[in-house]
Amino acid sequence: MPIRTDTTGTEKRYILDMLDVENRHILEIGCGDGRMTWQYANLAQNVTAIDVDIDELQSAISNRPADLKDTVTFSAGSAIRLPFKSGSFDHVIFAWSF
Amino acid sequence: MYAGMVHALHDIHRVLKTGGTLVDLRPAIGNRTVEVDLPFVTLHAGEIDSSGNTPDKIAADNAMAQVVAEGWFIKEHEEIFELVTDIDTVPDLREYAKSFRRSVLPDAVIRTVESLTSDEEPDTFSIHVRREMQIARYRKR
Repeated sequence: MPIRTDTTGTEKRYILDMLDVENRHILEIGCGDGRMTWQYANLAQNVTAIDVDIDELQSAISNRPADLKDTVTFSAGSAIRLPFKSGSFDHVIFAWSF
Repeated sequence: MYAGMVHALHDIHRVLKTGGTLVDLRPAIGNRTVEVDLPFVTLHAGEIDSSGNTPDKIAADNAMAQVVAEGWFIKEHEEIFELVTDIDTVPDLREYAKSFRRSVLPDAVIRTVESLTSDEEPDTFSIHVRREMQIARYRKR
């Protein structure tokens, strides 16, 4: 792969230092192509990952590891209006895209 | 933009369980740096101009500060870390830059990378782009 981000897993270490994701319900806002999602999702109860960029979401869905199919759900959306019930998540990871 | 950010943070507060956690992860203010890793030395090739993103980053800082001041969240912890992207070739570097929304990879940086790698075999060097990220944890009140 000609372009690789965070091959040393630095971002994963910081996220896991910040959050106890084990068996938790997590919302990831701004998931992009799922690069970060794969790094912690195997520990979570479930992950709902959203992004406004449909192309990125398509990439995330097509790259989703088979063993995470039941754990990670992708959908289009932004943080402006979250289509979820109140009190749905233990953690929200807000990955701002600039 | 700023009002939209505050509104988004209010909605995040709503969907969190009581005592739930928000992690705010984003690029820190500042440029990305480009370097070339050659067999015996690593050389600085220039910077990717990310100043176009600075107003949004300041707005995000201010939005977070506002929801903390208003009592929606408690800030618990913050750290800065470096995120590195490894790139194999100059065409790949150009491709990487296409993903930018407001950042700019100057032609001068590309020319510098080309100059530094022109005598190298493709698998004897790599290009690294370094950016500072900030990560912070907030607790829902």
